[in-house]
Amino acid sequence: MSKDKLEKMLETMPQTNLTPEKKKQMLDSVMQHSGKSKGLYMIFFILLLLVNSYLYYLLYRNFAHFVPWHPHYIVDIIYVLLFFIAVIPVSAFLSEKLAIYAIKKGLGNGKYFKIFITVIIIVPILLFTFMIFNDYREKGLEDVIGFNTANVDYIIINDDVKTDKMEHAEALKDFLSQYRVKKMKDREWDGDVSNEKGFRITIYSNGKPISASIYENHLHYKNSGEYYKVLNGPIDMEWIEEFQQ
Amino acid sequence: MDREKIITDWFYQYSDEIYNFLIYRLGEADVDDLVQEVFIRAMNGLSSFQENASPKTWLYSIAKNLAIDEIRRRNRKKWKSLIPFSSHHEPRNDVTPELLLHLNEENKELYHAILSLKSGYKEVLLLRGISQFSVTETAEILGWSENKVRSTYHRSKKALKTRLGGNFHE
Repeated sequence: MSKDKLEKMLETMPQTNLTPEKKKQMLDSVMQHSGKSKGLYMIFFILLLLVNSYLYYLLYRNFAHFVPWHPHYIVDIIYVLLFFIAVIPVSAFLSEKLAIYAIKKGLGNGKYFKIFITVIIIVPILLFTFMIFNDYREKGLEDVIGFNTANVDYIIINDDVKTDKMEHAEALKDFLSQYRVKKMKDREWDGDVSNEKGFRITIYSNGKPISASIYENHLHYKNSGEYYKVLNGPIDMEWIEEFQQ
Repeated sequence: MDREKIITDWFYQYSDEIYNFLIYRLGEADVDDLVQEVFIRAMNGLSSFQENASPKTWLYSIAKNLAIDEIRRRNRKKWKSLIPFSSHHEPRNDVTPELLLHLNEENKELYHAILSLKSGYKEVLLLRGISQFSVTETAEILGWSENKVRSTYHRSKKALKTRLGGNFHE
Protein backbone atom coordinates (compact mmCIF):
# COMPACT_ATOMS: atom_id res chain seq x y z
CA MET A 1 0.00 0.00 0.00
CA SER A 2 1.41 3.37 -0.96
CA LYS A 3 2.10 5.93 1.68
CA ASP A 4 0.35 8.60 -0.33
CA LYS A 5 -2.93 6.75 -0.18
CA LEU A 6 -2.54 6.14 3.54
CA GLU A 7 -1.75 9.76 4.21
CA LYS A 8 -4.70 10.83 2.11
CA MET A 9 -6.96 8.49 4.05
CA LEU A 10 -5.69 9.89 7.32
CA GLU A 11 -6.25 13.42 6.06
CA THR A 12 -9.82 12.69 5.13
CA MET A 13 -10.79 10.76 8.27
CA PRO A 14 -14.23 12.04 9.25
CA GLN A 15 -14.61 14.65 11.97
CA THR A 16 -17.70 15.76 13.85
CA ASN A 17 -18.74 19.03 15.44
CA LEU A 18 -20.33 19.88 18.75
CA THR A 19 -23.80 21.35 18.39
CA PRO A 20 -24.10 25.07 19.27
CA GLU A 21 -26.33 24.21 22.27
CA LYS A 22 -23.78 21.70 23.52
CA LYS A 23 -20.98 24.21 23.09
CA LYS A 24 -22.85 26.83 25.08
CA GLN A 25 -23.61 24.32 27.83
CA MET A 26 -19.98 23.21 28.01
CA LEU A 27 -18.67 26.76 28.00
CA ASP A 28 -21.04 27.73 30.83
CA SER A 29 -19.75 24.78 32.80
CA VAL A 30 -16.14 25.87 32.20
CA MET A 31 -16.92 29.40 33.37
CA GLN A 32 -18.72 28.12 36.47
CA HIS A 33 -15.63 26.19 37.38
CA SER A 34 -13.60 29.34 37.00
CA GLY A 35 -15.84 31.21 39.42
CA LYS A 36 -15.65 28.40 41.92
CA SER A 37 -11.90 28.21 41.44
CA LYS A 38 -11.57 31.93 42.27
CA GLY A 39 -13.85 31.54 45.28
CA LEU A 40 -11.89 28.56 46.57
CA TYR A 41 -8.64 30.44 46.02
CA MET A 42 -9.82 33.35 48.16
CA ILE A 43 -11.01 31.04 50.92
CA PHE A 44 -7.77 29.07 50.97
CA PHE A 45 -5.74 32.27 50.85
CA ILE A 46 -7.49 33.77 53.86
CA LEU A 47 -7.23 30.52 55.85
CA LEU A 48 -3.58 29.95 54.94
CA LEU A 49 -2.69 33.54 55.67
CA LEU A 50 -4.26 33.28 59.12
CA VAL A 51 -2.53 29.99 59.88
CA ASN A 52 0.84 31.12 58.46
CA SER A 53 0.64 34.43 60.31
CA TYR A 54 -0.01 32.64 63.58
CA LEU A 55 2.88 30.21 62.98
CA TYR A 56 5.11 33.12 62.02
CA TYR A 57 4.18 34.89 65.22
CA LEU A 58 5.01 31.78 67.29
CA LEU A 59 8.35 31.55 65.48
CA TYR A 60 9.04 35.18 66.31
CA ARG A 61 8.32 34.65 69.99
CA ASN A 62 10.59 31.63 70.23
CA PHE A 63 13.30 33.20 68.09
CA ALA A 64 13.47 36.27 70.33
CA HIS A 65 13.82 33.95 73.31
CA PHE A 66 16.76 32.03 71.89
CA VAL A 67 18.66 34.99 70.44
CA PRO A 68 18.60 37.66 73.13
CA TRP A 69 21.83 39.39 72.16
CA HIS A 70 20.40 41.31 69.17
CA PRO A 71 18.75 44.73 69.39
CA HIS A 72 15.09 43.84 69.13
CA TYR A 73 14.05 46.64 66.86
CA ILE A 74 16.30 45.41 64.05
CA VAL A 75 14.88 41.91 64.31
CA ASP A 76 11.37 43.34 64.42
CA ILE A 77 11.92 45.30 61.22
CA ILE A 78 13.36 42.24 59.46
CA TYR A 79 10.47 40.11 60.68
CA VAL A 80 7.89 42.57 59.40
CA LEU A 81 9.64 42.81 56.02
CA LEU A 82 9.89 39.03 55.77
CA PHE A 83 6.18 38.78 56.44
CA PHE A 84 5.40 40.89 53.38
CA ILE A 85 8.00 39.44 51.05
CA ALA A 86 7.76 35.79 52.10
CA VAL A 87 4.71 34.81 54.16
CA ILE A 88 2.08 36.56 52.02
CA PRO A 89 3.43 35.41 48.61
CA VAL A 90 3.93 31.85 49.86
CA SER A 91 0.34 31.80 51.16
CA ALA A 92 -0.91 33.06 47.79
CA PHE A 93 1.13 30.47 45.87
CA LEU A 94 -0.03 27.58 48.06
CA SER A 95 -3.64 28.78 47.86
CA GLU A 96 -3.56 28.71 44.07
CA LYS A 97 -2.17 25.18 43.99
CA LEU A 98 -4.64 24.04 46.62
CA ALA A 99 -7.60 25.54 44.74
CA ILE A 100 -6.58 23.87 41.47
CA TYR A 101 -6.05 20.55 43.25
CA ALA A 102 -9.38 20.83 45.06
CA ILE A 103 -11.25 21.54 41.81
CA LYS A 104 -9.47 18.63 40.17
CA LYS A 105 -10.57 16.34 42.98
CA GLY A 106 -14.18 17.33 42.55
CA LEU A 107 -14.60 20.03 45.16
CA GLY A 108 -15.97 22.26 42.39
CA ASN A 109 -18.93 19.93 41.90
CA GLY A 110 -22.25 21.26 43.18
CA LYS A 111 -22.84 19.02 46.19
CA TYR A 112 -19.28 18.93 47.53
CA PHE A 113 -18.78 22.64 46.94
CA LYS A 114 -21.87 23.48 48.98
CA ILE A 115 -20.74 21.19 51.79
CA PHE A 116 -17.28 22.73 51.77
CA ILE A 117 -18.57 26.30 51.80
CA THR A 118 -20.97 25.47 54.63
CA VAL A 119 -18.16 23.94 56.70
CA ILE A 120 -15.85 26.87 55.96
CA ILE A 121 -18.46 29.36 57.13
CA ILE A 122 -19.76 27.46 60.14
CA VAL A 123 -16.47 26.26 61.62
CA PRO A 124 -14.91 29.73 62.06
CA ILE A 125 -18.19 31.06 63.46
CA LEU A 126 -18.26 28.22 65.98
CA LEU A 127 -14.57 28.68 66.83
CA PHE A 128 -15.00 32.43 67.22
CA THR A 129 -18.08 31.97 69.38
CA PHE A 130 -16.22 29.49 71.55
CA MET A 131 -13.24 31.83 71.86
CA ILE A 132 -15.45 34.71 72.97
CA PHE A 133 -17.26 32.46 75.42
CA ASN A 134 -13.98 31.14 76.78
CA ASP A 135 -12.54 34.63 77.05
CA TYR A 136 -15.39 36.09 79.04
CA ARG A 137 -16.27 33.11 81.22
CA GLU A 138 -15.58 33.12 84.93
CA LYS A 139 -12.16 31.64 85.78
CA GLY A 140 -9.70 31.35 88.62
CA LEU A 141 -7.22 34.20 89.14
CA GLU A 142 -4.41 31.63 89.01
CA ASP A 143 -5.62 30.62 85.52
CA VAL A 144 -5.22 34.20 84.28
CA ILE A 145 -1.81 34.70 85.86
CA GLY A 146 -0.79 31.20 84.88
CA PHE A 147 2.62 30.01 86.06
CA ASN A 148 4.24 26.75 87.00
CA THR A 149 5.85 27.07 90.45
CA ALA A 150 8.59 24.64 89.41
CA ASN A 151 9.68 27.01 86.61
CA VAL A 152 9.67 30.25 88.61
CA ASP A 153 13.04 32.08 88.55
CA TYR A 154 11.98 34.81 90.95
CA ILE A 155 9.05 37.00 91.97
CA ILE A 156 9.11 40.78 92.42
CA ILE A 157 6.35 42.60 94.28
CA ASN A 158 5.92 46.36 93.90
CA ASP A 159 9.41 46.53 92.28
CA ASP A 160 10.65 46.25 95.81
CA VAL A 161 10.54 42.80 97.28
CA LYS A 162 12.17 39.91 95.46
CA THR A 163 12.09 36.21 96.24
CA ASP A 164 13.32 33.14 94.42
CA LYS A 165 12.05 30.56 96.89
CA MET A 166 9.69 27.92 95.56
CA GLU A 167 7.65 27.83 98.79
CA HIS A 168 6.91 31.55 98.32
CA ALA A 169 5.77 30.89 94.74
CA GLU A 170 3.54 28.05 95.93
CA ALA A 171 2.06 30.17 98.72
CA LEU A 172 1.33 32.98 96.27
CA LYS A 173 -0.28 30.59 93.83
CA ASP A 174 -2.48 29.12 96.56
CA PHE A 175 -3.48 32.63 97.62
CA LEU A 176 -4.42 33.70 94.12
CA SER A 177 -6.34 30.48 93.41
CA GLN A 178 -9.06 31.36 95.94
CA TYR A 179 -10.27 34.25 93.80
CA ARG A 180 -12.55 34.07 90.79
CA VAL A 181 -12.35 36.69 88.04
CA LYS A 182 -14.17 37.59 84.87
CA LYS A 183 -12.85 39.56 81.93
CA MET A 184 -14.08 43.13 81.51
CA LYS A 185 -14.45 45.06 78.30
CA ASP A 186 -11.71 47.70 78.00
CA ARG A 187 -14.22 50.56 78.14
CA GLU A 188 -15.56 49.29 81.47
CA TRP A 189 -12.17 49.73 83.13
CA ASP A 190 -11.97 52.78 85.30
CA GLY A 191 -8.37 54.00 85.19
CA ASP A 192 -8.79 55.68 88.57
CA VAL A 193 -8.06 52.93 91.06
CA SER A 194 -6.80 55.27 93.80
CA ASN A 195 -9.67 54.21 96.04
CA GLU A 196 -8.49 50.59 95.94
CA LYS A 197 -5.43 49.07 97.51
CA GLY A 198 -3.30 47.11 95.13
CA PHE A 199 0.12 45.78 94.24
CA ARG A 200 2.25 45.11 91.21
CA ILE A 201 3.61 41.65 90.67
CA THR A 202 6.16 40.34 88.18
CA ILE A 203 6.89 36.63 88.03
CA TYR A 204 9.91 35.55 86.02
CA SER A 205 9.30 32.05 84.69
CA ASN A 206 11.86 30.45 82.34
CA GLY A 207 13.31 33.92 81.81
CA LYS A 208 10.00 35.38 80.61
CA PRO A 209 8.10 37.94 82.73
CA ILE A 210 4.46 37.63 83.74
CA SER A 211 3.20 41.00 84.99
CA ALA A 212 -0.02 42.16 86.58
CA SER A 213 -1.45 44.95 88.69
CA ILE A 214 -3.82 43.43 91.23
CA TYR A 215 -6.32 45.58 93.11
CA GLU A 216 -8.94 44.65 95.64
CA ASN A 217 -11.67 44.22 93.03
CA HIS A 218 -9.83 44.48 89.73
CA LEU A 219 -6.91 43.04 87.87
CA HIS A 220 -4.89 44.38 84.97
CA TYR A 221 -2.99 41.53 83.33
CA LYS A 222 -0.18 43.30 81.52
CA ASN A 223 1.02 40.44 79.32
CA SER A 224 -2.19 40.59 77.31
CA GLY A 225 -3.37 44.07 78.36
CA GLU A 226 -6.69 42.61 79.50
CA TYR A 227 -8.81 43.77 82.43
CA TYR A 228 -10.66 41.57 84.87
CA LYS A 229 -13.05 42.14 87.75
CA VAL A 230 -12.76 40.07 90.89
CA LEU A 231 -16.02 38.28 91.55
CA ASN A 232 -15.43 37.16 95.14
CA GLY A 233 -13.32 40.10 96.30
CA PRO A 234 -11.99 42.13 97.84
CA ILE A 235 -8.58 40.53 97.54
CA ASP A 236 -6.93 40.33 100.96
CA MET A 237 -4.21 43.01 100.77
CA GLU A 238 -3.12 42.33 104.33
CA TRP A 239 -2.02 38.90 103.27
CA ILE A 240 0.12 40.49 100.57
CA GLU A 241 1.66 42.90 103.08
CA GLU A 242 2.55 40.00 105.34
CA PHE A 243 3.83 38.03 102.36
CA GLN A 244 6.15 40.88 101.49
CA GLN A 245 7.55 40.83 104.99
CA MET B 1 -7.40 40.85 27.85
CA ASP B 2 -9.83 39.25 30.30
CA ARG B 3 -9.07 35.61 31.08
CA GLU B 4 -12.65 34.50 30.52
CA LYS B 5 -12.86 36.31 27.19
CA ILE B 6 -9.68 34.58 26.01
CA ILE B 7 -10.91 31.13 26.99
CA THR B 8 -14.32 31.80 25.43
CA ASP B 9 -12.67 32.79 22.14
CA TRP B 10 -10.42 29.74 22.21
CA PHE B 11 -13.34 27.50 23.06
CA TYR B 12 -15.29 28.58 20.00
CA GLN B 13 -12.23 28.33 17.80
CA TYR B 14 -10.79 25.01 18.92
CA SER B 15 -13.34 22.96 20.86
CA ASP B 16 -14.42 20.94 17.81
CA GLU B 17 -10.86 19.96 16.99
CA ILE B 18 -10.09 19.07 20.61
CA TYR B 19 -13.32 17.07 20.70
CA ASN B 20 -12.33 15.05 17.61
CA PHE B 21 -8.79 14.53 18.85
CA LEU B 22 -10.06 13.07 22.12
CA ILE B 23 -12.59 10.82 20.37
CA TYR B 24 -9.86 9.36 18.17
CA ARG B 25 -7.29 9.21 20.95
CA LEU B 26 -9.49 7.47 23.49
CA GLY B 27 -11.65 5.45 21.10
CA GLU B 28 -14.74 6.74 22.84
CA ALA B 29 -17.61 9.05 21.95
CA ASP B 30 -18.28 10.28 25.49
CA VAL B 31 -15.51 12.85 25.86
CA ASP B 32 -17.56 15.99 26.61
CA ASP B 33 -16.27 16.18 30.20
CA LEU B 34 -12.71 15.90 29.01
CA VAL B 35 -13.17 18.69 26.47
CA GLN B 36 -14.45 20.90 29.29
CA GLU B 37 -11.54 19.84 31.48
CA VAL B 38 -9.08 20.92 28.76
CA PHE B 39 -10.43 24.46 28.83
CA ILE B 40 -10.71 24.52 32.62
CA ARG B 41 -7.04 23.59 32.85
CA ALA B 42 -6.24 26.18 30.22
CA MET B 43 -8.03 28.82 32.25
CA ASN B 44 -6.24 27.79 35.45
CA GLY B 45 -2.87 27.72 33.72
CA LEU B 46 -3.31 30.82 31.56
CA SER B 47 -0.69 32.73 33.51
CA SER B 48 1.93 30.21 32.37
CA PHE B 49 0.91 30.47 28.71
CA GLN B 50 3.44 32.46 26.73
CA GLU B 51 1.71 35.00 24.54
CA ASN B 52 3.89 34.35 21.48
CA ALA B 53 3.10 30.60 21.56
CA SER B 54 0.24 29.05 19.62
CA PRO B 55 -2.92 28.57 21.71
CA LYS B 56 -3.92 25.65 19.48
CA THR B 57 -0.78 23.63 20.16
CA TRP B 58 -0.97 24.49 23.85
CA LEU B 59 -4.57 23.28 24.08
CA TYR B 60 -3.68 20.12 22.20
CA SER B 61 -0.82 19.40 24.60
CA ILE B 62 -3.27 19.79 27.52
CA ALA B 63 -5.69 17.43 25.73
CA LYS B 64 -2.91 14.91 25.12
CA ASN B 65 -1.92 14.88 28.79
CA LEU B 66 -5.54 14.64 29.86
CA ALA B 67 -6.03 11.65 27.56
CA ILE B 68 -3.05 9.90 29.14
CA ASP B 69 -4.47 10.58 32.63
CA GLU B 70 -7.84 9.23 31.53
CA ILE B 71 -6.30 6.02 30.17
CA ARG B 72 -4.43 5.48 33.43
CA ARG B 73 -7.60 6.10 35.40
CA ARG B 74 -9.43 3.53 33.30
CA ASN B 75 -6.67 0.99 33.77
CA ARG B 76 -6.92 1.44 37.52
CA LYS B 77 -10.70 0.96 37.32
CA LYS B 78 -10.16 -2.25 35.34
CA TRP B 79 -8.13 -3.69 38.21
CA LYS B 80 -10.80 -2.75 40.71
CA SER B 81 -13.46 -4.49 38.65
CA LEU B 82 -11.52 -7.76 39.04
CA ILE B 83 -12.14 -7.68 42.80
CA PRO B 84 -15.26 -9.76 43.60
CA PHE B 85 -18.34 -7.87 44.78
CA SER B 86 -16.76 -4.52 44.25
CA SER B 87 -17.54 -3.97 40.61
CA HIS B 88 -20.18 -1.51 39.57
CA HIS B 89 -21.77 -1.18 36.21
CA GLU B 90 -21.01 1.84 34.07
CA PRO B 91 -24.06 3.23 32.27
CA ARG B 92 -24.05 1.98 28.72
CA ASN B 93 -23.60 4.62 26.08
CA ASP B 94 -25.07 3.57 22.75
CA VAL B 95 -23.25 6.21 20.75
CA THR B 96 -19.98 4.81 19.47
CA PRO B 97 -17.28 6.81 17.71
CA GLU B 98 -18.09 4.91 14.50
CA LEU B 99 -21.67 6.13 14.63
CA LEU B 100 -20.75 9.62 15.76
CA LEU B 101 -18.14 10.05 13.04
CA HIS B 102 -20.19 8.23 10.40
CA LEU B 103 -17.29 5.99 9.50
CA ASN B 104 -17.60 3.82 6.43
CA GLU B 105 -16.11 0.34 6.34
CA GLU B 106 -12.75 1.49 5.08
CA ASN B 107 -12.51 4.27 7.67
CA LYS B 108 -13.59 1.88 10.43
CA GLU B 109 -10.76 -0.46 9.61
CA LEU B 110 -8.25 2.38 9.60
CA TYR B 111 -9.72 3.74 12.82
CA HIS B 112 -9.40 0.40 14.65
CA ALA B 113 -5.92 -0.12 13.26
CA ILE B 114 -4.87 3.26 14.70
CA LEU B 115 -6.41 2.38 18.08
CA SER B 116 -4.47 -0.87 18.17
CA LEU B 117 -1.09 0.90 17.94
CA LYS B 118 0.98 1.95 20.93
CA SER B 119 0.29 5.39 22.33
CA GLY B 120 3.29 7.22 20.84
CA TYR B 121 2.41 6.02 17.32
CA LYS B 122 -1.27 6.80 17.87
CA GLU B 123 -0.54 10.36 18.95
CA VAL B 124 1.78 11.22 16.09
CA LEU B 125 -0.63 9.71 13.56
CA LEU B 126 -3.53 11.71 14.95
CA LEU B 127 -1.57 14.96 15.06
CA ARG B 128 0.40 14.70 11.82
CA GLY B 129 -1.94 12.52 9.77
CA ILE B 130 -5.46 13.47 10.83
CA SER B 131 -5.13 16.94 12.42
CA GLN B 132 -2.48 17.92 9.85
CA PHE B 133 -0.11 19.62 12.27
CA SER B 134 3.36 20.43 10.98
CA VAL B 135 6.42 18.64 12.30
CA THR B 136 7.28 21.65 14.45
CA GLU B 137 3.78 21.92 15.90
CA THR B 138 3.61 18.19 16.58
CA ALA B 139 6.99 18.34 18.33
CA GLU B 140 5.71 21.19 20.48
CA ILE B 141 2.55 19.33 21.45
CA LEU B 142 4.28 16.07 22.25
CA GLY B 143 7.36 17.64 23.81
CA TRP B 144 9.59 15.78 21.33
CA SER B 145 12.38 16.85 19.01
CA GLU B 146 11.46 17.33 15.36
CA ASN B 147 13.68 14.40 14.36
CA LYS B 148 11.82 12.18 16.75
CA VAL B 149 8.50 13.31 15.30
CA ARG B 150 9.66 12.53 11.75
CA SER B 151 11.10 9.13 12.59
CA THR B 152 8.16 8.12 14.79
CA TYR B 153 5.67 9.21 12.14
CA HIS B 154 7.51 7.15 9.56
CA ARG B 155 7.52 4.08 11.82
CA SER B 156 3.90 4.55 12.81
CA LYS B 157 2.80 4.58 9.17
CA LYS B 158 4.75 1.37 8.57
CA ALA B 159 3.11 -0.20 11.62
CA LEU B 160 -0.29 0.93 10.38
CA LYS B 161 0.39 -0.56 7.00
CA THR B 162 1.29 -3.86 8.64
CA ARG B 163 -1.94 -3.78 10.67
CA LEU B 164 -4.02 -3.08 7.61
CA GLY B 165 -2.21 -5.69 5.54
CA GLY B 166 -3.20 -5.89 1.91
CA ASN B 167 -6.77 -4.74 2.45
CA PHE B 168 -6.34 -1.37 0.84
CA HIS B 169 -6.03 -1.16 -2.84
CA GLU B 170 -5.06 1.73 -5.12
